[in-house]
Amino acid sequence: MAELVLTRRMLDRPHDSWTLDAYHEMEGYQGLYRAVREMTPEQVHAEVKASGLRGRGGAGFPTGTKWGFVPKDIFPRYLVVNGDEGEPGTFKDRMLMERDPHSLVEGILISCYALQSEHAFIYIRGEMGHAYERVVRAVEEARAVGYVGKDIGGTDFSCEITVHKAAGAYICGEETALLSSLAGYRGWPRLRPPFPAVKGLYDKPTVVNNVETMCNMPWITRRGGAAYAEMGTERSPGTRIFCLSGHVNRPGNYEIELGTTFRELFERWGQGVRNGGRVKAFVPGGASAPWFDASKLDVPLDMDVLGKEGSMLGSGAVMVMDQDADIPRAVWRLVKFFAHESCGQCTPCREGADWLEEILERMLDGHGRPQDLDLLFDVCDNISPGLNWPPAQTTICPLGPSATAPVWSTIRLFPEEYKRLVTGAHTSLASSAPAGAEPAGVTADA
Amino acid sequence: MTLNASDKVFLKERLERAREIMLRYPDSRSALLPLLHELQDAAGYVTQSGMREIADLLGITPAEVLGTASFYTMFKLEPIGDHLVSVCTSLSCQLYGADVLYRNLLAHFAVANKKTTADGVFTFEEVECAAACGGAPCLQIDYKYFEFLDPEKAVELLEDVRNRGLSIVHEERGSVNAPLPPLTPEEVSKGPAPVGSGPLSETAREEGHG
Repeated sequence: MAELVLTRRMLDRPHDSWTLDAYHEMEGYQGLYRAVREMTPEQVHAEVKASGLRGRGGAGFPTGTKWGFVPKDIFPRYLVVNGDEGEPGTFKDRMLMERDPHSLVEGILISCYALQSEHAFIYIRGEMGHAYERVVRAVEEARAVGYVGKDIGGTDFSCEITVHKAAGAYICGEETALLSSLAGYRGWPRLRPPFPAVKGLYDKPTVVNNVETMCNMPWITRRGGAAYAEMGTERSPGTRIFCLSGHVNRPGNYEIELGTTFRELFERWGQGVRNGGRVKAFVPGGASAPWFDASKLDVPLDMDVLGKEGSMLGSGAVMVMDQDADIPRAVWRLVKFFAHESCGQCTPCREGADWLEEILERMLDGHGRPQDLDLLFDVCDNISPGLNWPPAQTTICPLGPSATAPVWSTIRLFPEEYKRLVTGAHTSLASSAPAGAEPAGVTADA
Repeated sequence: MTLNASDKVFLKERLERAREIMLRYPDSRSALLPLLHELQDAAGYVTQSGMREIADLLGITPAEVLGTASFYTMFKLEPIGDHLVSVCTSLSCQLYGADVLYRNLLAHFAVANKKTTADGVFTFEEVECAAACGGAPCLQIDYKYFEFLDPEKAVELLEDVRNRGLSIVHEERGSVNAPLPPLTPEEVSKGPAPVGSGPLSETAREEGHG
């Protein structure tokens, strides 16, 4: 299997991987020195392009290409790192910030050098107090030895890093909302164009990159883009951290080469389904992704293949449900999330997500009606016409369409689970039955 | 409205710190969220008078401060208990019975969602994904993580915090380095468990408590 790019240090030094001393002993900041002392910004950018690295935040856009959208002659420009991890099922960036904050700091400095930016911001989800403290500490340690500040490594490259604590709003993971929030406003997304690369933070050219994306930069700079591109698949190169949760024996964050299949992820890394069960359904790439059933177990973890299969690899969050899982109830929970997190600007999302939540809740409470499935499809279609993936959009940002994906994808995959809700025989939300219990009125193997 | 110096309870002793925060940003308005965090840390919640002081300092209106603060779930506009208990009920936690866990907690402490216990110790809130799905079900107390819970463990945990205090309980039982340490390639090579006949029992999760 491929070398571990992102998690080797925390595995080798579980008790101090986040300290500068430990990081130094594991090739720490050698990538930064190689970049600023031996390479031009253009050469660093070229290595990132050659690596084929695609953004690890969800959209999977090639990082080197994104950097190329920054206008050549406008300064200052900013790098903003998105550490607002909140997509249900995703918990990798928190691990990276807590256990390997120096690779984040080094990745940021390398990226700023390539982008010719002298000021970066790390926007960290406010609820992650420990991650925030570790990153603040790492920046201070790096500043004390001259990696952050003026004339880094004896060159004329200077760079400041500001660590910013957010305050609880999933929508701020969307890049334009994040920039509004960082500027001190409500986290409202805005229409693109103009894209942040042209007009971003304080109306200046701004690159927004994910934490995991940044953590790849030291390795790419030390070893070269070509070596990185040798791992994974041709169009999804490298390794990636998958956040495996749900009904597997060993949930956790696993760094694996892209191109591995879901079955292998569940069997080898997840150590199988709990209690010897089988997979009924899984979410392949975060709460926003259309769901799969067990027929897709042999699909490879590859961004383009997932797209062709009608879903996405998204944020790398894979949630597994066994044969006992109550699908409409699980879907209701994700829809409730989107309804809560809608920023409220666009009517289809603000009203539609609420409607979806209320209809599903009513069905789960025992008041389903035969016309409810059509009604669910209709509400979904008003938010995201056509119910396809990638979704059509009637809203400023993709949150609204994301709310529909779990609904229509599971009604298509598991119609019998929904039909049960409109004919009366099912569990109630208010019952004390734990999630995943056999629904009342249905006797297994009777 | 300009405040008199004597009214500035929040910033009186923190003006230097507030100015240092403002200087981190090319535009001082960016300091709004960090200053609201400072206010909440100092006063326990985001007070009306504190928001007026921040507005004054940043040269914006109190309405702009409130309008921004109210967008973010972490900022509490009313006093809360000594500890904020945030229970994740999102999908990965729901699959491990988080909704039952939360109902049970509220019943045990005789309190409703978003309310404070009669003794003023705990304020409860149901929250969206807390990014600890590998340790589901989880909760946070004052944003410190506790994972691999069940309804009984959660009740017992909070009773423990009430009796012995958060810092000592977190040190003993909390997740300091979360989430679950990744499985190493060496561990993986010990052999796969086929989906459909997983040989491992729940003990793998028990052992995994990191």
